[in-house]
Amino acid sequence: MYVSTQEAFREEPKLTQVAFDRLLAWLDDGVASNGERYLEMRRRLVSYFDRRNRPAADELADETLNRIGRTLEQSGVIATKPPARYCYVVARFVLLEDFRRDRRHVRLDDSRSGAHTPRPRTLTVVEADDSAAIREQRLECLDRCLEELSAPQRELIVEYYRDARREKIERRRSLASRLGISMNALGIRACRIRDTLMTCVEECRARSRARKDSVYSPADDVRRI
Amino acid sequence: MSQLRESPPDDRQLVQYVLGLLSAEETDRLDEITMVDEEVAARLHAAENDLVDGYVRGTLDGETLERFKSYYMASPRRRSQVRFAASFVSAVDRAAVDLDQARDQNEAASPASSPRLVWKLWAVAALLVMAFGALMIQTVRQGNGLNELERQLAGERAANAAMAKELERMRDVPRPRATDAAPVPAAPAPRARIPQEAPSAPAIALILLPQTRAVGPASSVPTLDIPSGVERVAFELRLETNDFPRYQAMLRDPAIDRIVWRSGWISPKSASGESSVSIVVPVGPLKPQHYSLDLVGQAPGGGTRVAASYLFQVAPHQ
Repeated sequence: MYVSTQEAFREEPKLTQVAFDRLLAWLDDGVASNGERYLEMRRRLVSYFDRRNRPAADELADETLNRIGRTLEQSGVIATKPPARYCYVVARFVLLEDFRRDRRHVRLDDSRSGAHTPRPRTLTVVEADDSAAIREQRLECLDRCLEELSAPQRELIVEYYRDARREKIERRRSLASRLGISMNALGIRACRIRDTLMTCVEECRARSRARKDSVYSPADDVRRI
Repeated sequence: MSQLRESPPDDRQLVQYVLGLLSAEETDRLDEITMVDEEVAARLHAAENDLVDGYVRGTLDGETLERFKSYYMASPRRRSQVRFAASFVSAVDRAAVDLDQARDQNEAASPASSPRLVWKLWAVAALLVMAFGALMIQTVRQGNGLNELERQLAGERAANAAMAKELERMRDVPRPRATDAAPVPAAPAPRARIPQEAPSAPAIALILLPQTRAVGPASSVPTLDIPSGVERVAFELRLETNDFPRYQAMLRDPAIDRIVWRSGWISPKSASGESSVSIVVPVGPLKPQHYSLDLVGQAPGGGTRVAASYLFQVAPHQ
């Protein structure tokens, strides 16, 4: 069962190309990252809103970054350093506004139906259950995505995430030593590759769903009736 | 609002943060530091992944397991991450088996796989290294001896030339009368080359403890204030154990995960029962942010091994 995504709140205009370019450059803070800093900051913001139990964490993260982009487009400069600190400041405001918006919705709902749960502003794709077919599809996509990694990346992520408990820690120390990097640096690399795999799997599954939808036949409706 | 000067959270606190077990004040503090501090953000990401994998692998227990099920899994987004992790761990374990099998096949196919042959090859390599080392030492000594001889000869030639000039001069100068009291200038002594003095090293600016000793609730990331005009800063890197004859320090910028400076090979020193390595780092690469200094040791027989890591931060310029 899937619920489609739709915007349900009053929407600010999206970022212009100029604003987005300035946002990327500002986040890079002098070290070009090919958009990696944007993706990392967005990930942190989504996690922040999700930890605060906001159902629309992705939208709130985008709202935060859009506001910063618009500020950069209008004034060109943000003095606060590092950029992540300013992102946090704006995120707090966005969070507070989201809390207030929920309270207003609860009051409206109370007056009509007596419901106490805040209505979510946006609806995101949710898989209601994880059927065997979906698990199998995810596994197939993972295997494919693992193969698409370079050999050193694949070896790193397999060595980093295999095993459990004590063996895992020893293996990671040994891996860091072999690569000549610190444990922190190893963790950063492993997490980045894992995130890449997650994105790859989502895209792979989206393609599979699209292929499945494209073979839909009107006869299916007749059978259902 | 800024609470970054307090001690960074350890991994246990990060897990409590992910499970919503901290006080409101601590949660606010970690909200900020996990957003702003690059190293803490990376550690949180890794800790959360490990927690989720632990649940999937069935290694969580007790309160952590209960809290994970009741709190962490309450979010649809986090449940989706758990579902991904279940497939991910399964795929990784399958790939690990393939990797191990490929390694075993490579080792079996390699002619150096026989243990006896491997030991023979190591023994031959060791003998060659020793012979080469002895030859190098002899060559250097002979070279030094020759250089010393040459220096002495050059000095004596210079002295002889000076004396010859003086004699020439004295032949041309009229003999002084007995009443003259002007002294005869002595021949200039041969001059030895004095090596240029090394510039004096800056005073130690920061003493760093290895991360394994420094991590904990009571510790904080040391902060370095660099006054204007200073071109180099000195660090003393304390060693937990002195396992290597020489060490090399590498300054890493965690924001870009790159080494921005590295030292030469340095011998450790001992004082009052503590071993340490002293380095001098140019100020140029340093910006107001966190850094790590990774220390690698030179293993006998070649190769390097990570010995310790140190964290510090550069304070913003005033």
